[in-house]
Amino acid sequence: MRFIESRLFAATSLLWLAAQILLGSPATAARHPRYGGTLRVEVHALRVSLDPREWQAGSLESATNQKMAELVFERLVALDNYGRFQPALATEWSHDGSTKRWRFLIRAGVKFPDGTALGAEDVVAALQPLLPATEQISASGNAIVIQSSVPEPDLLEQLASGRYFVYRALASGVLVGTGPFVLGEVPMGGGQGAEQNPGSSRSQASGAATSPGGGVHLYFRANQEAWSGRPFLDGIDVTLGVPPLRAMFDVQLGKADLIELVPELVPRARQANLRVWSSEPLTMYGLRFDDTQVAASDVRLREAFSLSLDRGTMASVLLQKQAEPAAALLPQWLSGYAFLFGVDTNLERAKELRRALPANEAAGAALLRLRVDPAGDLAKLLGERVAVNARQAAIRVEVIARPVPRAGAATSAPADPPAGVHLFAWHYSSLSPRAELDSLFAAYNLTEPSAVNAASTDHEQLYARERRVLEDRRVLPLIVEAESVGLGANVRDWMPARWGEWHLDDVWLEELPETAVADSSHTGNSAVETLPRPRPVAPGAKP
Amino acid sequence: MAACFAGNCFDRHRKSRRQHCEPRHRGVLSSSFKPVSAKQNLSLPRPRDLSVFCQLMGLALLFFPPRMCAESLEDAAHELAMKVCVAAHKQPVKVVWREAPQSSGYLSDRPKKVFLDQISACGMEAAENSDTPILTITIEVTPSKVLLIASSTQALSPQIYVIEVPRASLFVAKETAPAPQLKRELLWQQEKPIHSALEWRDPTAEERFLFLLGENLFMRFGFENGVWKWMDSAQFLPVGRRLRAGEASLFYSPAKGRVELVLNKKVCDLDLTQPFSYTCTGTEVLDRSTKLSSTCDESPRYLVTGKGDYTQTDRITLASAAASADEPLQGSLDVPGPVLDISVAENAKAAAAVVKNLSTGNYEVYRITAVCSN
Repeated sequence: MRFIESRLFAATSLLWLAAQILLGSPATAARHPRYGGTLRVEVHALRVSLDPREWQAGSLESATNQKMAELVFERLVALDNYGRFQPALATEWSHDGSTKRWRFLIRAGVKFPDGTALGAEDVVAALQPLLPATEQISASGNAIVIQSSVPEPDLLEQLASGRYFVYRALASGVLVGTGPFVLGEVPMGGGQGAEQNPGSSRSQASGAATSPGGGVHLYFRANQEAWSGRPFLDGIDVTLGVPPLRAMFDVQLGKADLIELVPELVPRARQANLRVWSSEPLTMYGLRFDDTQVAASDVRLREAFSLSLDRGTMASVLLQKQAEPAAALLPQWLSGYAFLFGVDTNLERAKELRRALPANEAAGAALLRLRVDPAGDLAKLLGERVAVNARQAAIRVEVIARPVPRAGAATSAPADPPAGVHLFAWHYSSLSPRAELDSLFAAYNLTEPSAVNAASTDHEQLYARERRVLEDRRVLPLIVEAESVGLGANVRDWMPARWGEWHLDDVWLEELPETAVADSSHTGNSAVETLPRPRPVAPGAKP
Repeated sequence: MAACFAGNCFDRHRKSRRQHCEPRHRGVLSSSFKPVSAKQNLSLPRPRDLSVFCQLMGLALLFFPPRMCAESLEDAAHELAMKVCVAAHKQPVKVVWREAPQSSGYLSDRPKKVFLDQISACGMEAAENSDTPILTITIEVTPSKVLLIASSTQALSPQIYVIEVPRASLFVAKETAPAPQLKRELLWQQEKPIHSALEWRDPTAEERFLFLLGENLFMRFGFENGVWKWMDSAQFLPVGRRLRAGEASLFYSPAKGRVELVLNKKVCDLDLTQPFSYTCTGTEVLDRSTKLSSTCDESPRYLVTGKGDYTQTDRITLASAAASADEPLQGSLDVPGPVLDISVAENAKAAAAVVKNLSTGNYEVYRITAVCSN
């Protein structure tokens, strides 16, 4: 009898084991990707523009715009984390020997949400207003040709980043794309009882709603017809204008799954065992001198000013070590050579230079006015810190912290006296160092010597261009700041690009028990823990 | 032209990287960022200061435009050394290697050795003395490139020298062995049909032979003084009987260690002693492998042909055994007509492909080999 019981037990165990292997244990199943769910995202921006034609190069707003646009639109090519260009809406590309003429074959079978096919003419219409004047784009069958008057060996880097999205502008003015999500109606019961907001901007015309709490929502639903396969998520609910601290509480309480974290909250979030991810430094804060005040036009004053700046303290104290001192215009991860520019702080030398200045200059009769152009507490704090540093070198600075849009940054608001120094913020968006430098120089009218080959993409020339401008000290980089996000415990396969693209089409949500939602102590990267996900196979599906 | 298909860049793309990096005649700035003139370069260099080579290099680079981009780190190290050598003062330097954490693992000993050998060859011995000028070589990784940067800390305003390597090319080199490429060589051509061909080296006599199967004739050629010479031939089908396409072929059986004939899907043992004869055993051929080895690595690869009919030109392609159906093939070779038969030689290092040239109407036999692309 005992023998029979043992055999019965063994047989039962074997059956159970076999069933577990075949069906998967609950623990294993939980690690497999699953379809469904709405990812709740909270961002600080009050409004979002999904029209790349409206974006201002380098603006802080363009960062959020770009992240939202990546849900709806796609680019011709993509750059992966290993430096390999991957096909997106273009499946093949080629160029001539001079890299002035590029040809991209457009992927067949790609459809817009209304079922119409993407054609080469759509790509031409979308990219023509975005490309610089030196580049002409035309359709040739199912391919497009970009003809440039100058060599463009970095065209793939340019097209894989920034605003080079492919879209179709409908007669209503709304832009539609072929991306993994579609800006759609807020589902019933979703968006916290949201109502449609008829007054939203053109690019927000559909899918924008206002919740009872006042926050504007954007709802992106999964594009069932996406050529790259339906994303795992059913939708993404983005709440705009959420204050940073409230966003952090929301993710801790399970009311949000993905939030933007301001630098000063990153240490606190880490202490609270929140999952935190940070990008490469993507925003530079710097000073820009112009000649509206006589004192600012003296190179010796600018040198003294530069030597007085304690960038290390700004990065470690004001930004809680979530930023790095910057000595170059382009960050190290983008240019590769930024380390060659040293951060020079020498208060004694600054004082010495200051003493040699004519008495009627900055520290003498007139104050040097520093206008803080970007909005936000961080910019204001940086401005005040700069003023403190300058005063230590006996340069008297008055801070004017009334933000103005960057388009008008070159000139102060009429009511304000002219400012000789501006504190500005620049968001890096291109993966081409040359294109980024061009945008920066153009935005701030930084002149270059004629001997420099501005069209060159080689790093020796880029370094020479930067060096020349920095030696003139009309621009003084201060710090470069990373972007950080806080993640809910249920967010899986978070695999962003280190330059800030979120790649939410890869993300899926794990169903957690109620207790686990509040306990967000899971800090590991789920991308490492999960098994390769069975993505729906589409021809040429994205890897 | 560079071309990429579904993210996989073939050899054409490798060439394109060179095109990206083609030498450009350009002005070079001195450390003061003024254009370098010949007059400036004629000034005497200050001893033991690397800044002099910044100035000297300016003029030199005008006449020896550098390649800014390389395909491997060894190439990059060599090209960077050449740049440094072109204008540097011939003096000992202390070479310091600097790797950022994110670029660690890229710089192995080999590129370092290549660099040191090259600068040494041009008179810049690597020294460890504390008073020698320091030349810092830094490796940095950007989203799409790996940069090798030479800089001197002693120069007041350092001129830097940079060689770029596309990261994607390093990834391929790092993760996989160099991809083999197919190469063809015409062995024989004739007007009359050839159904199959096989190259064979007799291990005992160390002689090379080429066997051809004609319409109903078996022919043997020996390799003498660089050409194939007819040796003998034998009728292997009854008079008046003609082979249809694909009805007979030659192959080397590694298992039996001998050349065999396949006739009407049956294996026939060949007796290569004169007079030629064969005996069909009735065994059906299960698998005639087209497995070809390359000098690149050990992974098995197979020759496959296109699916067109006999009116179309064809392409012979090398496929990995591990590759799935939708995975790209590794190397390909266009031939001037349909491929009628492929037989792999006894060492599996070459294959004989019979092609009907659509332009001339001739039957041609090509030796196909897989060679390393680099």
